[in-house]
Amino acid sequence: MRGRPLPWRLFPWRSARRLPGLLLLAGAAVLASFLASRALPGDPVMLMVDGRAADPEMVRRLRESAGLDQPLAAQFLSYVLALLRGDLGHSLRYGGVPVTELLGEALPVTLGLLAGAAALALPFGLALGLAAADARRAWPGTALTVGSVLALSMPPLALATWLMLAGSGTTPWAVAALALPAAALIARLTRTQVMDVLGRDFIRTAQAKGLGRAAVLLRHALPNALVPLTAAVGSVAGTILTTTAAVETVFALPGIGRLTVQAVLARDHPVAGAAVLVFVLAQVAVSLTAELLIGLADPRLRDGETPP
Amino acid sequence: MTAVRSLAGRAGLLLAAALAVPLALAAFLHPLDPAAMDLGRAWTGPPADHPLGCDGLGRDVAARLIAGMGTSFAIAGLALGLAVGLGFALGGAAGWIGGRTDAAVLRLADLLHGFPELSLAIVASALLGPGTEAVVLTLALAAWPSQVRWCRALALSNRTAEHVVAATALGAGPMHAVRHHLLPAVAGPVAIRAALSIGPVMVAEATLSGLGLGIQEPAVSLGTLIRDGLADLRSAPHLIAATTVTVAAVALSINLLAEGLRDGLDPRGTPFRWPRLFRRS
Repeated sequence: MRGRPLPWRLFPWRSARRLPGLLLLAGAAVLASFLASRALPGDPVMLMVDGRAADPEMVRRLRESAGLDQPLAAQFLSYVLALLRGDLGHSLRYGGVPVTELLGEALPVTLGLLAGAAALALPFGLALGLAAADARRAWPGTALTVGSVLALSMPPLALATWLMLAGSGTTPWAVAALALPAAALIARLTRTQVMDVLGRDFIRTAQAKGLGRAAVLLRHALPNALVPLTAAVGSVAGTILTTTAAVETVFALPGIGRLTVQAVLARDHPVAGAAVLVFVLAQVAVSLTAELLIGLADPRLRDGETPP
Repeated sequence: MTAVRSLAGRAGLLLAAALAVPLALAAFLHPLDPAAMDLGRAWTGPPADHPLGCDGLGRDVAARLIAGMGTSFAIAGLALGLAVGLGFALGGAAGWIGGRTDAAVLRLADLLHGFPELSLAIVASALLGPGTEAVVLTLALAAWPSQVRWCRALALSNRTAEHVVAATALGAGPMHAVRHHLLPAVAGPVAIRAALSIGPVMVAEATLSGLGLGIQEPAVSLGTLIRDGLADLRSAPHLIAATTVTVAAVALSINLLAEGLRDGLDPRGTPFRWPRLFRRS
């Protein structure tokens, strides 16, 4: 097929081969979230009655109304059915607020934080990585290595604390605490990938036909480096959640990380279980997006060919 | 000593020594119980007879840092040992046997990789209760998928290596091939891969325990010390300062050593270069 590809030809159908695995993952996430929400130790009913020397009859009735006297398999079935209706249960704290409501309040905070961090980390990381891939001088690469090892060695809690003390605890500093390690990682990966591409033959061809440095870097090296870069960033996305929880805790931001940590500490199992589900689904979304982007960026992958 | 051939490795070794020597001396000359309380000296700052001051219960911060560092190292070692052991057993079998075993192990690794560290921590602490077991399990499960893929790749490339094929042709059984050809070839790369992940695993432990999802009082780790420091942030900033600087320095020295190891072992990679000012020739 010549000329501009038709829209459906742009879609990387190859990504579909990951669907069974992702469905399996979603199933495992539902099971894990059920286990976490019904977890031992800590009887949820005793937590509801606040550990008071409760009337055994009241405890029995509460247990019955929550379905906790049913066998575990039946509980799982009703959990899945409720999940399909969009019902994640009720928090054991906060006077029985629906879990979906708590998540709905917390998610925008976290998404805003992550969006801000990505808006900072992506351009800065890419630019620094490209600048450090310059082989004419050694110092940019050295500076990047030193800086990125330093930034990636900072425990997120320590970095967040220092930035909070430095900046009076306002939200932009929380974004910075999240963006700094991410930018260091992106810059480092960009540099490695771009330097790898710069050694290939087509770069020499591009230089030989008289293209300037900027054109070679931006039009030939960067797009080819983006595919492995996207794959690498997608595969480490899981650890950013822990960092987010640390930043939200230090800056006292009411996001999903802080909500989750507090729920675990307070044995608020329904909220903790729902968070497990949300986190795994977010990870699924990220890896699907990465897969689609890789397919779009590399035409060879669209028709099921394998790249060299 | 491949690790110290490059300057990053030397810097890491230097920093590790700069941390370890005073700590060892302090532990030797100034043996203090990390749990000993003395409310009379609560909140005292550094210039007392306690080199890093005392916390809110009058416990010596330096003694607690030494104890915490030991716990954190032990936990990272235990978690990585579990991840490497299970990764070698399953990944080695997957690569060596191939076929359905391989597909099943890969699927399991993919499945586990799909769980972010934080959700593993929630499930583990919900099932086992927040504590040492939960954090070790979390860190081991989080590290396992990459270890298993690495072991599988090594086993796969070794199975088809000429000397192994030759040994099989001469009548060697599978156990002989695994013991005399696979294990010696794989042990080095597996150990290096594990050494590279000590730093990140220690940072993860500090984060989880710092959030309260890991080690619990009265046990001490670098993470619980950060948690204590955060709780007393306004009244005693010297606590959080001493702790976070120590944690960052420990992680930095390990990561620099790892960087040196990577430079020394990968002839293709770009070695770490000091600015010309410091270079000798």
